[in-house]
Amino acid sequence: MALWDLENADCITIMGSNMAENHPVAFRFVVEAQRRGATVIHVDPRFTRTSALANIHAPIRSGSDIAFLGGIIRHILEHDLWFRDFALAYTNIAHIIDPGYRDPEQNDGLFSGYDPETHTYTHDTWQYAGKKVMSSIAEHRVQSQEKDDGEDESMAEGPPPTDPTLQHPNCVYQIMRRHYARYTPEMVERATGCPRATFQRVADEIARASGRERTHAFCYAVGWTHHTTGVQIIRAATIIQGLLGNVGRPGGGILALRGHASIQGSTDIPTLYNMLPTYLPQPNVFHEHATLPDYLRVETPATGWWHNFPKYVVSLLKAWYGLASRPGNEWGYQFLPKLTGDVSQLPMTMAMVDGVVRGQFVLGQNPVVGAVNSDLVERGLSKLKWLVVRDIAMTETANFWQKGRLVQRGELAPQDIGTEVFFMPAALAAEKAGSVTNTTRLVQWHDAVTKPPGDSRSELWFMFHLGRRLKELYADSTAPRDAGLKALTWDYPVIDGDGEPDADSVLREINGYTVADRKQLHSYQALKDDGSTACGGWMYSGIYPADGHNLARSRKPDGPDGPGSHLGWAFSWPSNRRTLYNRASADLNGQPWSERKKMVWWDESKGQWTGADTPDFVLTKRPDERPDWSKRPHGMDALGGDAPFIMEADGKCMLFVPSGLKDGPLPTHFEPPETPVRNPLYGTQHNPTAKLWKRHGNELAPPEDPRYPYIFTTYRLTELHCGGVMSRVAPHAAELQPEAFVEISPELATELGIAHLGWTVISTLRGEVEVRAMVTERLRPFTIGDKLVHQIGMPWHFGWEGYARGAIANVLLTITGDANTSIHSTKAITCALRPGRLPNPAGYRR
Amino acid sequence: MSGAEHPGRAALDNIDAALRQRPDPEGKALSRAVEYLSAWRDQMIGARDPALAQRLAHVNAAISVVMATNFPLGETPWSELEKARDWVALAVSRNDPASKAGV
Repeated sequence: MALWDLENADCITIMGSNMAENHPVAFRFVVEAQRRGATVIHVDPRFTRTSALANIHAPIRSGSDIAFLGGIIRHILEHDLWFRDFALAYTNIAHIIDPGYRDPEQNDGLFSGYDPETHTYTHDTWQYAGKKVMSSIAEHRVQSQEKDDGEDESMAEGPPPTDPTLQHPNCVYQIMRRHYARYTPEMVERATGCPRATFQRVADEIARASGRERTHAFCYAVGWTHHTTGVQIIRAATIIQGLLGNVGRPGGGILALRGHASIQGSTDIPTLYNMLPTYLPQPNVFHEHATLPDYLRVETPATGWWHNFPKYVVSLLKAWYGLASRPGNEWGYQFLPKLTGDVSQLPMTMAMVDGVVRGQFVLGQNPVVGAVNSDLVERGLSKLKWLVVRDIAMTETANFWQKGRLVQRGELAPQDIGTEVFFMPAALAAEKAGSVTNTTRLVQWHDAVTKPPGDSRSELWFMFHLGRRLKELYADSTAPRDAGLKALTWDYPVIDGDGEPDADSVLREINGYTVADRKQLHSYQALKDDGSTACGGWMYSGIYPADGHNLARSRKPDGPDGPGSHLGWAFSWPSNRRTLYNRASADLNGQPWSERKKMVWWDESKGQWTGADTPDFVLTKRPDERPDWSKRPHGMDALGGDAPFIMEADGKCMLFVPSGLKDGPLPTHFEPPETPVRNPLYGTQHNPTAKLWKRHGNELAPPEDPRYPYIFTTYRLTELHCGGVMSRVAPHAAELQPEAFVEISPELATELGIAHLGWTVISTLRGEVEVRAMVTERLRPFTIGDKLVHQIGMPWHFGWEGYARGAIANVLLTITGDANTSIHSTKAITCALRPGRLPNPAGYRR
Repeated sequence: MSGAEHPGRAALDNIDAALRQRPDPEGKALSRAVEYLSAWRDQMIGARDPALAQRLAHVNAAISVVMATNFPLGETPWSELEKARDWVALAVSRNDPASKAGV
């Protein structure tokens, strides 16, 4: 949903985010919604400024989000509060699941298909009865082979079986009712620590913001994602929104608050190892990806929008390899490196320790502060042959060899570290042109307003010249592995004497063009799989539809009487669309659910969809159009005019997910890998598919370990930014937050004899830090079952550089990964806490 | 690192240990295998001998497979690890000057 669409919501739940402090610009739309009468709910372990401005603050123990959201799902189902017209028509609530499906309620926390030896699931029993559903393409696709040849053709043979009466025992509705039956208010209280009356108030408010006239929005940030169940937490919110009809509608949706500039862009045009630009799966050597025809055959879903997949792949290859991309060489497909395993940041941190990584580039990151298990990161860096760090000021990562914790502790000596560090000055945002893509998928262009000082250069400059020099270096190579580098188009014009590349030309390439006459493409709908079009990222196509027409530059907001979608302000991918799946803002007949909540509708006189936003649908597909199954329809022909969720195989919102998730078709409460309590719902303690890497230096405390009785969470501060460098070196920001601290409740402080501003030591199995205490009622103990559980929290920006210094919180964290995304856990581990100081504090007491 | 004189052999021992422990090996054996293979690779790179190019390519491939087993994407590639094990064994068993030197 669009950020500014929040003001159209009747209720907003902020969960997994301290939005007022960490997204203050975005939060003004929450304030505006509240001014218009919306109820604002903040669900969070701490009482923050977001809580202070909310109508309801619901405290929950870190790591118990699914228990809380599951309780809301139960509340909606048991009290029949769901938006029936919406959910019956647009979700898979009536779909019938394979008879072999078994629920965690029948198997103590495990779904059917679990292999205890490999800790993985097979999806066969999660399918629609008699069907094989291929998931929407996303990063998980590189992790599993979903389709053998032709398997998902069943989706082109007819619609999945349904029971609109919802009486079939294996329809999604009945499965969900059984699955969430035990998520009662009492259980929610027991699992989360949230008083049941508060939970009940939240559930009532959320359920009330539903129907034709009212909508509800969720806002979240890394407080949801940074768990071993992160994907499933978001899924739980999806189920709530699907049931309440709060997807694709004004003021309805789930807003992913992006943490820093262009974090959205870095997954769109990815710095991730497992995706090609705009969410095309990286080929995998262990899958049927040996040739381009193989890759396209197994990765192209039979039905839905992703059936266009080949057009996007071939156009990308044309953009990257130009004249070297030909029909006779699979359009250059063999130039692409193929994946073998998980080479995301967390495994690679461990691989560095093992000595396999010889060199590393660090750009716009400070992993010694920002990555989990900082001591292990330092150990890894010390094993490198070379390290390149580009930043605007000295970082902890660049001088770990001199001032690092391991050096301070005497475990490493600078003279014994063989890593050659190249520290290069980087340009600030205002010193370079380019785009940022952030919340709302909004791509905004900015110009350079001044030249960077001295030898400081932009990232684009660095990458361009690095690539150029590498191509020169390998120009004479005949090795097949170098062919891709040699073939890469790398002809961006430079615009000044320093050799700064023209960022505009990069965006034009991402937009796409016709190969024959180099004309800019107006939209991704113009892309072809015959080599006649080139496009660096299909979802961005349309951002630069004509020479001199960069839509990311647009700055025309709607006036007070305008539609409020602000289509003239920058560009939201795809197609400058602000609300995805906005076909759902109209009823089955294509008319708005209500005048108050109108967004996109069918205009019978024009024979097309129209409205305040760019319609997310085939423009001329009538609402009453239905697939002609006698023709075995594929692609969008297999979706009727009543199927708004066009990226899914049958166009329906998936309350129950038959394919694509590694850890189950429904969200289920598991405890974090480290926790002071037992799972109150199942004998299965933690997510059985979570990535837990057992190794020296990354040990996990067992559940209820008396040595580590407290829950520890990390968070950000308004005044400092991420890994901290750019704000800790700024005197005014540093003065506002001068040093690290830990927040402790008065109850715990009294129990342990810790004074406000007194020194404390926090320990985990990974390390320990000393830090001053902030004793505050913003944190309260939780009663979990019959146990009092204390939680403490610490900001993670600090390190030993800059003016504002202090202990690195991430020293305490462990490397674990969500089963679907490998994202780390920063929000719920266990720790010990004591008053006093370390005998030899590493690097901070200078 | 014990086994540093014959890192290829040490790597092989650890790959064998991981294969014996399947389907749920301790990460330790695979990590050590990667560690020894990496040391072996670095020795070859340091030798700057074009004659070692093919063997270096095989060791690099073996590193990829052992890492894929340690950090799999989805299914653990056990059968590929068995093949990688045979490559490593073949390289270790070659009776040439480089092999005698542990390279």
